[in-house]
Amino acid sequence: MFEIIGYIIISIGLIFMLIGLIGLLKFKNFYSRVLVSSIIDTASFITIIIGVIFIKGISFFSLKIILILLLMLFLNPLATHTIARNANISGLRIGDDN
Amino acid sequence: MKYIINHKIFTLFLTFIWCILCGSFSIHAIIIGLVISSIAIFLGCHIPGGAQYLHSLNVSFFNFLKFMFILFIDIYISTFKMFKLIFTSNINPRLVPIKTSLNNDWSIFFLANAITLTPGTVTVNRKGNKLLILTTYPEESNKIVNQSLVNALSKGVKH
Repeated sequence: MFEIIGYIIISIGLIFMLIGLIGLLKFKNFYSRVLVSSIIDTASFITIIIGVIFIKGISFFSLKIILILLLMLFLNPLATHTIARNANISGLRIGDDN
Repeated sequence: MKYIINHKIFTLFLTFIWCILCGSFSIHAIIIGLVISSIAIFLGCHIPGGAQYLHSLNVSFFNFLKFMFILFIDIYISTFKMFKLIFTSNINPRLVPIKTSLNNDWSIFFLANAITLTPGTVTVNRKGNKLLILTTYPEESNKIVNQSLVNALSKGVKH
């Protein structure tokens, strides 16, 4: 029963990823792409991890997966922030690259 | 020794992570974990500039869990908002400076991290307690950051 729920949740995560990719390819502007990309690396990632935990149940495997989730919650924003900050400092204005 | 007593909860947390990585909660693993995490905290307090940040970190566990819960709900709500904006091609990014009521480094770090995690907002720069935020929501600047998130943080992380 829990396995089926897990597979459904993972599918929802993949749909999130698909919509994020559509957004990423649809917009040509750099800042719009930075904003859309966080759907893929947070919302869809968290959903897929929750799905895996549902499939595996309470075990050391799911505890390790939760550890990876916690690490990614700190590391993903770091990458996004660094890219956006460097673009801002180097003088790229909003609407320059339309 | 005083560092380890000051950070007893942090030591236990690191021991817990060690036990997860070892794959067992036996006494053997717990003792090795305690020793290794004590060494890690001792070294962390002795690197230049490390001690002042480690000393000032005082996290209240349940308020921090509440913060995480609000953050997860916020992430999903703004994901669905972003879907609507993607399919209507209505993304107009702009830079908005906001001023937070938080005033210690750790809570501003957690707030900036939470803002970047939420789809549709990215923290670009920080000066003191002023954050420069890249956002796309067509709303007033005081609605960009969820106020209950800031309240949970001000209770959860103390200086």
